[in-house]
Amino acid sequence: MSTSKGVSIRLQGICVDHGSLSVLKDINLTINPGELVCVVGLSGCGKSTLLKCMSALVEPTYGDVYIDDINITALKESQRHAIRARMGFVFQYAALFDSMSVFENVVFGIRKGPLRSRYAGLSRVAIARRVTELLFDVGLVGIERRMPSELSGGMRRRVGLARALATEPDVILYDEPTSGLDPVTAAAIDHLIVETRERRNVTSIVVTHDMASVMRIADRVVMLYGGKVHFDGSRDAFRDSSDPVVRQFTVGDVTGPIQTRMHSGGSRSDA
Amino acid sequence: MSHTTGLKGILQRSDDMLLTYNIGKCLGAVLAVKGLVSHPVIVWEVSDTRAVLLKAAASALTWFGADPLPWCHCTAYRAIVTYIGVMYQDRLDVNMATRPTDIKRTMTEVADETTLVLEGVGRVSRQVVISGPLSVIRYIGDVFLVLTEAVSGIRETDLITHIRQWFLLGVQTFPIAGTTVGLSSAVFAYYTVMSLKNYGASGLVGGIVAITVVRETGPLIAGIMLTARAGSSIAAELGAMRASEQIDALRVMGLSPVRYLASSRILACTLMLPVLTVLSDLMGVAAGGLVASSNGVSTQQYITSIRNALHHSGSDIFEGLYKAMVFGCIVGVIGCNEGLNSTGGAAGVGSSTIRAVVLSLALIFLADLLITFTTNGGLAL
Repeated sequence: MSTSKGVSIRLQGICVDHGSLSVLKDINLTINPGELVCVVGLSGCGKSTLLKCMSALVEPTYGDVYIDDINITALKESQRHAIRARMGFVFQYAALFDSMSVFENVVFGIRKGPLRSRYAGLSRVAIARRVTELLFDVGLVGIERRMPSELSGGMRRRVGLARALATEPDVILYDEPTSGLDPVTAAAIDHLIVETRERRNVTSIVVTHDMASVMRIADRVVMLYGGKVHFDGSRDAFRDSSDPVVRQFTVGDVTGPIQTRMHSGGSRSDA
Repeated sequence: MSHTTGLKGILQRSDDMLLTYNIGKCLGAVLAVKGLVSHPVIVWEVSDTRAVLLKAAASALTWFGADPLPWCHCTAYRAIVTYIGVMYQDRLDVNMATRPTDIKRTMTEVADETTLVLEGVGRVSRQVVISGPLSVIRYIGDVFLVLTEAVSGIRETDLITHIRQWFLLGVQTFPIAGTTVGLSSAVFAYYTVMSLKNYGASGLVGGIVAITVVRETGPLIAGIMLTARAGSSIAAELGAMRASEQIDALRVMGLSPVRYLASSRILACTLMLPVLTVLSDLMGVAAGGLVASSNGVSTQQYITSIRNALHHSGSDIFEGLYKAMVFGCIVGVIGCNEGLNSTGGAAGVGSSTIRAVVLSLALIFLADLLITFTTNGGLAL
């Protein structure tokens, strides 16, 4: 397995509007090569949108995204393929190709992607062994021939993770990789994320709600609140922050400056 | 007092920009609604502002008072009366003055109401006049982009994928296409025979059926069946892939969804519809022959009539095949474009499938008309 030189990601004045709704408002963020950043925030605060902006899957309304100083928002779709080929993306609901088996899903990037020439010398046996290893790394054994419809949600997500790792990307974007998994498997996935970063110096951005996961893996935590970066600092600074919004989020308290709809509804009924 | 022009000038001197803005909108909106178009024009245009304003406002107020319609109790009416009353109480003899703060609040409400109405009118106008044609142009552009990228991606797709699509979209459509062309040809042959019998020319039925089927109903009905079966299937499948982020997964792996997914489907539709058409034509001619023979036309007569009617150069058949290729391309491109651009989850998949079918059918009929007229020298007017 080759060592990545890592990729820097810079977001400059990113705004994303969905109709009249502003999802992201003037996001400025720089992620250094090899850094493992956790992006946290309330549900619907734009974490996944931010991740998709980084891979140019979502066009920002305003602002630019730089991958290693290349402004990908200014590139044509056809010019983005080469940059995206250096990325791995673990989707929230796995996004497995449901007409293909698990084996075909994992091997897809190797056989069909822009980097397929890199693996052209590998024999069928070597490829099969590599797929087996990748699946073993994510805790799956003997499911190569199964179809995605035959897998549980957690298994699908882990196959998605194996698929993202298959092409040895320089940057991996994880969209809630541990949500819906049991604690043991979630810890194993966290271990895999950290190990992948340490082994290959991969730049890793993890969107998650799982505070235990954040405390296990993050070098740095970015918290989105109200469409803006509310907190950006180290894991320890995040844990020890006295900011009331951060405190409420980390503790998981119902009362505080963060007003959830459910909570405000409860208040009305109480009144 | 310095010479300023129009209502805006007067009201600026009242040091209340908000009222300046709002009173103009109120007067303009209310007087225009009531048909007094000339009044707001005078108010805005004439330089001797105070006198003209008073004249216009007084006539408006008098008019409102004489004919108090229900809508006159709206916020806009009250605001105008109140404001005029405050400023020009001595001249207008209107005792409806209230405190300036209340007026300002009322005016803000008026501004909001007026703005909402005007924005609504603006949105609808923009939708009808500008956005409609623009979205059509944009759609045509999208379709051509998909087509050109798909064509350039045909060679990148492996043969097995192509063959699979030929089978799924072409071979599996044949039973329904052949059956429908056959049935419609049988009905057509029946009516033709019954009509020609009156003139003792029922022997010509073979030629008439053959030309109609080969040049028109064969490719058209096969195209409609391809739309119903393959076009909807393509749009639904790609739409579902989009909804489940599989299209995004392809993109993030550095692959073009159009090249990877659309190329093989568009090629399959374009190539297989002519094949389907040939087979459907045979079914149609055969079904017409059965009906004709059951109505006293011998098989020999039927075949001879076909030989005499169809052009020996094969131009009738080629026109039908040309139409079929165009129809197939339309079905493939529209289905792929709608599927790949589907939004809104499961409901969006349904909508994009409906759009793909409706649009494909409409374009097939349009293309049929254009091809028929262009290949046959246009309208004989």
